[in-house]
Amino acid sequence: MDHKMSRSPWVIHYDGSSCNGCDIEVLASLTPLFDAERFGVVNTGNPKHADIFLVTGSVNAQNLPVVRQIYNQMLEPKCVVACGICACSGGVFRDAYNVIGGVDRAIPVDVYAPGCAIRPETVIDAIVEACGILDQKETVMRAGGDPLTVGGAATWDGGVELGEDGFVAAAGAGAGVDAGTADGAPAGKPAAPAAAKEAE
Amino acid sequence: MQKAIYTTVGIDELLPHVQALKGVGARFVQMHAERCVDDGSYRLVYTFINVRAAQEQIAQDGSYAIENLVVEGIDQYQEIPSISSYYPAVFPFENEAHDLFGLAITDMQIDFKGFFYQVSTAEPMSVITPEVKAAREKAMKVRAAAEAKARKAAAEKAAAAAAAGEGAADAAVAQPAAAAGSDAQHDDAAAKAALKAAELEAKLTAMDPEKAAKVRAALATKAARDKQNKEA
Amino acid sequence: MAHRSVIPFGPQHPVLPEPLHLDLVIEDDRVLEAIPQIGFVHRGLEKLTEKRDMHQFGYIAERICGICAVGHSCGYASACERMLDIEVPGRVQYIRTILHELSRIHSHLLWLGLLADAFGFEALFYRSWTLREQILKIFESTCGGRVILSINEIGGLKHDIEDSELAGIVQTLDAMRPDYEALVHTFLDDNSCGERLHGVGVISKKDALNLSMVGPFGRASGVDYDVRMFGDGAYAGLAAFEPIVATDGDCYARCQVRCAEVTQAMDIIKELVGKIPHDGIGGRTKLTPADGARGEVVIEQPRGEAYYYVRGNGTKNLDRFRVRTPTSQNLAGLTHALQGVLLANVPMIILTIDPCISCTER
Repeated sequence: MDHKMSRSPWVIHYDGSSCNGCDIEVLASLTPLFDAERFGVVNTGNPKHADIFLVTGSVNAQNLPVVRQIYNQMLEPKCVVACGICACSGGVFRDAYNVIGGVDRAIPVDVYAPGCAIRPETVIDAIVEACGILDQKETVMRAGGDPLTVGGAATWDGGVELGEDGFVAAAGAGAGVDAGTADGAPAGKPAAPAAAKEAE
Repeated sequence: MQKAIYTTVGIDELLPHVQALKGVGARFVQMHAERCVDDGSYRLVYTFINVRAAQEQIAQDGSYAIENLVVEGIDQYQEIPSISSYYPAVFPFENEAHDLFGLAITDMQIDFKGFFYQVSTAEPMSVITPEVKAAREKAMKVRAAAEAKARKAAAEKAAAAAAAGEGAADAAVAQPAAAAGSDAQHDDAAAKAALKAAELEAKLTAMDPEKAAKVRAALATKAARDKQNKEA
Repeated sequence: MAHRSVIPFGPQHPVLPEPLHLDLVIEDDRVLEAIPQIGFVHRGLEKLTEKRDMHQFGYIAERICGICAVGHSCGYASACERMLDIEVPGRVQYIRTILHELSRIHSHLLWLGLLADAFGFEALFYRSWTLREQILKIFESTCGGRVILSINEIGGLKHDIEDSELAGIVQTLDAMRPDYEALVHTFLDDNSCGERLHGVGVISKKDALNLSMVGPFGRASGVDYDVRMFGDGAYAGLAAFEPIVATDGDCYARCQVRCAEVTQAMDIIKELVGKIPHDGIGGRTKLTPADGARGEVVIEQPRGEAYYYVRGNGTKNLDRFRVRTPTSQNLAGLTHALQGVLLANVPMIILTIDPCISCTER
C-alpha cells in the first residue's frame, strides 16, 4: 500500500529567539488566506504528534536544550525547517552576545527558508520541500535503512555543546560572532536541501 | 511637548526621593543601568511620570515632564537598595541590572539570584571592548581639534571685525590722521596678540592634558618673568 | 487534603507562539504563586549599538519585535531626533502615526484571534486573522513589507505615502468596519466567549496603580492612562482624545478595551488622513550626537506605554540604547493576576495581558 506521511504532515512550531515576525507569519500561513491546511498541514502542540518542526529565530544558551529536547521527542521520520534568516544564520542579531547562531548549531536542519520576516508563501514552499524529504526518509526506513542518512542530518557537523554551567563550552562559541563562521558551516546557504536533492 | 528632567542623587538619597515621588502619585516608568566608558563606573537611571501633574501642565502650556533620578559613579560591588518595596514593577529591571551588569542590588522583593537571564557570557553588558574605547578616544580627539579650529576661526573673525570696525569709525568721525593711525596700529597689534593667544590655546587643547598643563605652567612663569623684567 | 506541587508552564506551550516559562505553585487546582522566568528570547541587542552605527541600528530596533515593529522604529527614530534636536516635518509625524495606528489594529486583531484560539473557537480565530490580512495588505502596498516596514529614518521617512494611497487606506478601513463589528459582536455578546472571560483574573484599580500596569491591561482595571492623551506629535492634531477605560478588571474588560481601541484607531486614522500637511518628508540626518546628549520618548504601543532612551557619546555609535516595553512592565501584574486562579484559567489570563516576550527580553 502506498501510504505517505507527506499527505498530511503535522507541524510543531517553536520560537527560538525570534522577534515574533516569523512566528506570526508561520501562523498566518495556516489561516484561510494562505491556507496551508489544503496540503493537510495541521498545527499541533505535541512534539510526539509532529512530523515537521518549524523553528523560528536563532538559538542561545538558554533555548538550545529546549530545541534539542523537542527535536529528540519527535519520532522518525521527521524534518526540520529553519524559518526566517535568524533561524538560518542568526540574521541581524548574529553579532549579539547572546546569539550562538542558526538553528543548525543545535539540531540538523533539512530546509532553510530565508526572509525577514519570512513570507507565508515561503513557509508553505518550505513545508512542501520538507514533505519531499519526509517521503525519502520513509522510503529509506521501509527498506530498513537509517533515516539519519537523508536530509540535513547526513551532512550535519554536530553543532555546539553546552558546558556544565550552561555556558557554551566550545572555544570562541561564547562570543556568538565566531560560532557560525569558525565551524565552517555556511549557515546561510541552503546546503542541506541541495544534498537532499543529490540523494534523490 | 515632552521635556526630561534629570536629577542627580546620591545613593543614600535614592530611597527618600523615590518615596517622595510615590507620595505625590508618580508612576514608575523604567529603570536602567549604563556603564561609563571613560572611568568604568556605572550609572543608574530611574524614570517616572506624574500623570496628574503632566495633565495639569499640558492644560497650561502644552508641555509635560519625564522625571529621572540618576545615581552616578556606582562601583560594581557597591550595594544598591532596591526600590521594589515602593514600586513592585521594578523587579524585571533590577534583576536585569544584576544579571547583565553584575550590580549588587539588595532586598529585591522578587529576587532571581542571577537566574533571570541565562546568558552565554557572564555580565555581558558590563564589558567595555577595546574597539569602543578606541572609537571614543578618537572621537574625543577629533572633537577637541574641531573645537580648537572653531576657536581659531572665531578669533580671526573677531580680529577682522575689530579692524573693519576701526575703518568704519575712521570714515565716519574723520579723526586726526595721527591718532587714527596710532589707534589702528594699536588695534592691529591687539588683534595679532589675540590671534596668537587663540592659536596657542588651540594647540594646547589638542595636546595631551598632562603635556598641556606643563606648557601652561611654563608659559605662566615666562609671563611673570617678562613682567618682572619690564618693571625692573 | 490539599496537596502542593509545582507545575512548569512553557516554554513550548500551544497557547502562546512565544516562549514564556512560568513555575506555577499549585494547591489542588488553585494557583498559589506564579514565578515567571524569561530569557529564552534574549538576544542582547542593546549591546549591538557598539557594532552598528546610529542609522544601521534603526533596522535592529525595528526587529525588537515583529508585532510592534512600526512602533519600535518610530520610537527609536523620535528618540534619536530628540537627542539631536531635529524637528521633523508634520507630514512625517502624521504618516508615522497613521502607520502606528494601523499596526495597533493589526496587533489587536491578532490578539483577538489568539484569544479565540485559546478558548477553542477556531472559526473566530480564522475570522480575526483573515480580517487582519487586510491591514497587512495595506502595509505591503504602501511600504513593501508585511511585517517589517523599514520606512523610518532618523530625521524623516525613506519614502512618502501618496495622498491617493492614504485615501485608499481609509476606504479599506471603512469597508472593514461591518465585518469587524460582526466580529466584536461575537466576542462581546456570544455566550460561549463571555462564559470564559467574565470574572476571570480580576485586578482591582488600586492594585493596577500599585503595580504600574500599562496599556489595555491597566485600562481594563480603570487606570485612566494612555500616552496618546499627552498629545505628542500628530496626536496634537486630533480634535479630542479620550483613553478607553473599563472598570471590571477581568478578562472580559480587557477584551472590551481592545475591541473599542480598534474602532478608535480607525477613527484616528480617518481624521489624520483628512488633516495631513504637505511639508515634505525630511530625510536622513548627517548629524552626530554630542557627548552625553540624551533623547527619550514615551509612546503608546498596542500593548501599552513604551519608553525609548538613547544616549550619545560623540561617536557615530550610541553609548546606550534602552527600550522599556509594555510587557516587561506588566510582568508584575501578570504574577499578581495569576494568584488564586484555577489552573484551567491560567492560559487565558496569560493571554489577556497580551504578552510580547521578544519585546520584553530584547
